[in-house]
Amino acid sequence: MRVMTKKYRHPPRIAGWLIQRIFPDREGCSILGDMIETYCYLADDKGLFWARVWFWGQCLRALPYFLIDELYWRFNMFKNYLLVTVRSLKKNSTYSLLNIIGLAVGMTAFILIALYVQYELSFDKYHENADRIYRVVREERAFTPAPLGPALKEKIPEVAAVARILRSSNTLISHEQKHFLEDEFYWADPETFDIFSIPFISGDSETALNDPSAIILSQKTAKKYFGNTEPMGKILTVSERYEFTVSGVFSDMPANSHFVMDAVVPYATYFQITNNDINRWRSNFSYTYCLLHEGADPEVMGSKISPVIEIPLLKASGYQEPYPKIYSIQPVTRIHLRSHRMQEIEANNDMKYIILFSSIAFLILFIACINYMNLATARSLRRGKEVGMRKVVGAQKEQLIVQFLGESVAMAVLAMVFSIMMVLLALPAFNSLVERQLSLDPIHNPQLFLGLVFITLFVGLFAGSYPSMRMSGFRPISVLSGAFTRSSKGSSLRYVLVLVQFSITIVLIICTIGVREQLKFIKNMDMGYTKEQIITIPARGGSVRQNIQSIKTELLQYSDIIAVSTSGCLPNNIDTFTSRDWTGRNPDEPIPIYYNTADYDFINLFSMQIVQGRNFSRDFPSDETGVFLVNEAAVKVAGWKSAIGRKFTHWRGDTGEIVGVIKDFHLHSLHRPIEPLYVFLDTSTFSNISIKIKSANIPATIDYVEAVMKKFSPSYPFSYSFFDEVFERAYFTEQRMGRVFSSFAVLAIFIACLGLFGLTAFAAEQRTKEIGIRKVLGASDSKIFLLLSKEFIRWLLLANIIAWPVAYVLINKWLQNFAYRIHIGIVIFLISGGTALLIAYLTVSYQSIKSALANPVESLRYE
Amino acid sequence: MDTKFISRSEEFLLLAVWRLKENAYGVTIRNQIKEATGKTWSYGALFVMLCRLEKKGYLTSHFADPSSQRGGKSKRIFQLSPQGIKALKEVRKAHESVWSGIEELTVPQE
Repeated sequence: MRVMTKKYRHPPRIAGWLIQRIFPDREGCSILGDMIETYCYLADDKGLFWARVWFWGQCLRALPYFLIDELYWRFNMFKNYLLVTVRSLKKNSTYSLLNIIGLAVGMTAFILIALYVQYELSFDKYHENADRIYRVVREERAFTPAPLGPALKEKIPEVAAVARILRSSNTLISHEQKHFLEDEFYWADPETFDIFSIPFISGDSETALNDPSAIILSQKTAKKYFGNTEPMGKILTVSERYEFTVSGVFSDMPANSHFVMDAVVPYATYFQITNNDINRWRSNFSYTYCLLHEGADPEVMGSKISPVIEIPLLKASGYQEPYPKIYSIQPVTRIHLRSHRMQEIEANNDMKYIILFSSIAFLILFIACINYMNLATARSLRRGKEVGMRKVVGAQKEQLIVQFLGESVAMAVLAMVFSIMMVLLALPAFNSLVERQLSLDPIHNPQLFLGLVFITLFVGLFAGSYPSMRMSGFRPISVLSGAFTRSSKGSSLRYVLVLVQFSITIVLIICTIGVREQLKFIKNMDMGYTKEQIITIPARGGSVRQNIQSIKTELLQYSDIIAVSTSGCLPNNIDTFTSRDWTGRNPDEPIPIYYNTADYDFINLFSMQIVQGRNFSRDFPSDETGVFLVNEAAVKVAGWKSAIGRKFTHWRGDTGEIVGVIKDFHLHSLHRPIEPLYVFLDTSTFSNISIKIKSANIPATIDYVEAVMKKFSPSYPFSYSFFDEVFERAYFTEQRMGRVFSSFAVLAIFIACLGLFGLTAFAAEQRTKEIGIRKVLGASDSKIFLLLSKEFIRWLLLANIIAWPVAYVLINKWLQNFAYRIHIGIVIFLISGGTALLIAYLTVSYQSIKSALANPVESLRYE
Repeated sequence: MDTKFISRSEEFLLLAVWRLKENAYGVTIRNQIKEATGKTWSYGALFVMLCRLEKKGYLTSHFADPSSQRGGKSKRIFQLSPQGIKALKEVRKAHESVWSGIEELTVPQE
């Protein structure tokens, strides 16, 4: 036995504090005491330094034991929580299932929309220099003149590189016997590949486009023409005439680009081939992109275009001040969602829809969380005993909160597993709904993975917050004494939550119906021309134009073809226009007027009406020199008493008389009002052939048309569309929105009903005894039914009152996009409110009827 | 314990406590172990084991009055419980029976 030392020395403070922290209560005291004793002995024996070292060593060595011990008890507690969670899941399996399905459906909707939004936001961000690439645009148009590019490079020091591109969609490319129409055919400056990150697989991106007859292809296009043979150095024929040599292959551009190139030839070659002047400022058909120097201020650069380039030009052509500001720049990453100019390369999406979809996603998730809160709080009373018991044996409020939060997180995790499965199942359908190729791929999309984890935690914690606070606040004495079976406290909050849920749902339903009605209105509206039984063929290649008379004759020989017409534009979207003084009133003030070129049969084929004068006619030989039709809008804008007989000039300079006035038809989509238009009789300039057919034997008719077209233009692949489908395509964005809206409205209703179902079930169960007693005392089944359902119905009616004004504002805001729109009448609101009410009532009545019909003997015996 | 024997280190600890009689607390137990086996245990390890043995019912403990020598901290005095004595007896019996008849351990020759 050791000799005890007499002198007390204070041990290292921090180590001592640590020991007392990790061993709580008196146990810590005695350990510390023992250690101090040894410490003092050591200090005398070996010196203070070694004693200190020893003390610290002891302290650190105690840590693992302590931690293991602690974890052991934590684990035991966790095991208990898990056990209780699983038990309560099992015990209330219907309720748990409702809860998890609700959460999972909400999460699925959220993940799908999040995938879509993430994809839409990612457009053009993959370029290495994405933040320094800008597109120069001209007023409200995307097209710029060719000489602008070199001028920018030369005169503005911020610009590091400039590239011009020009798209010729539907260009025929041939290699031996293979002919394809290339939609993504571009003429581009070699600098394009310096500005955009488009990696080359073979060939050199610096020099590939230097030769005027060079062509470079995307990987998939090269494969299409050459299979597995080496494409470099091979010859491709463009538009049956021009030969290009393959000088490079680049890897396919990602689909999230605002333009995707498949075949690229030098920009300057276009001007050589077409005999256009590359220095002409007045022709606008190119897109101009510039890369700024690092650190250059885009605002400064943008503001320089006007004084350095525009004003000298305007001065030279005799303009006086004030000079209009024509050019501006836009970041390339903002084009897809925020640029809505005319002449965009591809139809862009709209930030408004992205915001709208995101809000829907959040609303649905919110509804799902509310569901969980509702059901969990309602059920919480059942677990009052457990809470009481835990508190009695010493659980702290915090521990209970952690337990219940943990439980809801566990539910959220389960729901997430379900929802990932649902997302995988729903993705193909969703992809066709939004026309994208989205995938759930956490490896290539780490953000998504983090997002999923975050959503799970967020939903778990948010949905669990209220129930856990409430449940942990139960007072053991009242819970355990049994006086707690029914409490009205908190039930009003549940109804408020239902109110919020149904308000959101009703807003969604109203918007869905509103969008549908507008789309139906568009479809059924009298556009001023017919859409049915017309097929249209794009006219391509010189041989079609040369042989059009023979083609028409041959087509008309077929008995199921009623009429054939050629025209510049189709009547649903006449986008060619010229701006000049055509009214003859004010020579200094150019007025835009849309124009179309058409042959004799155009007006009749599309069943348009002539309100004044006559149609183009072969009976008037003078028509052949060129005559005009104008629409009513043009007459109105010009203020003519009569248009007939007036001299008119085509933009090319052909002059002739106006022979008739066409009844106004919608020459654009219904987003825009009817604008002035003239139609010039021109049988040789056209880009569309329209064929009116009989409704019988359509496939045979199409085969015949194909045969005729193949005869006259053998190398062009045959393609056709039905005009009514072309027409509907103009409302694609709206249709897509309508479809997305209705799908998610259905989901929202589904989730809300799950919640309502659970709540009614709960309320009925709570009142089993009450119902029994009421029945014994003579209440009728219908009285009981009313008693159980009236509370919900009251709140649902209130939800309508909240939802209606909100929906009214929203739907009207959307309708502002259309120049021609429906009036939102009370009917839509009544229908939507009624639908929601009906669905809710059906949900509620299942339980209510069940408990109303229950035998009171059974219910009173329960307990 | 019916089915499971106590572990070797538990056996050492219980025996140390038994030997120390009324004076079995952290410091003395640790010294006793060191003298008997030559191994120095850390206090952390020691207390975790002691607490576990107490939880299993082999030991009982009480707190003695605080003393100034220990910085005002009280000693925790341990004692063997009847159950602990029983467990020790059992393990001893088992020891003797498994070792009986073995004089010297040699590697068997083939």
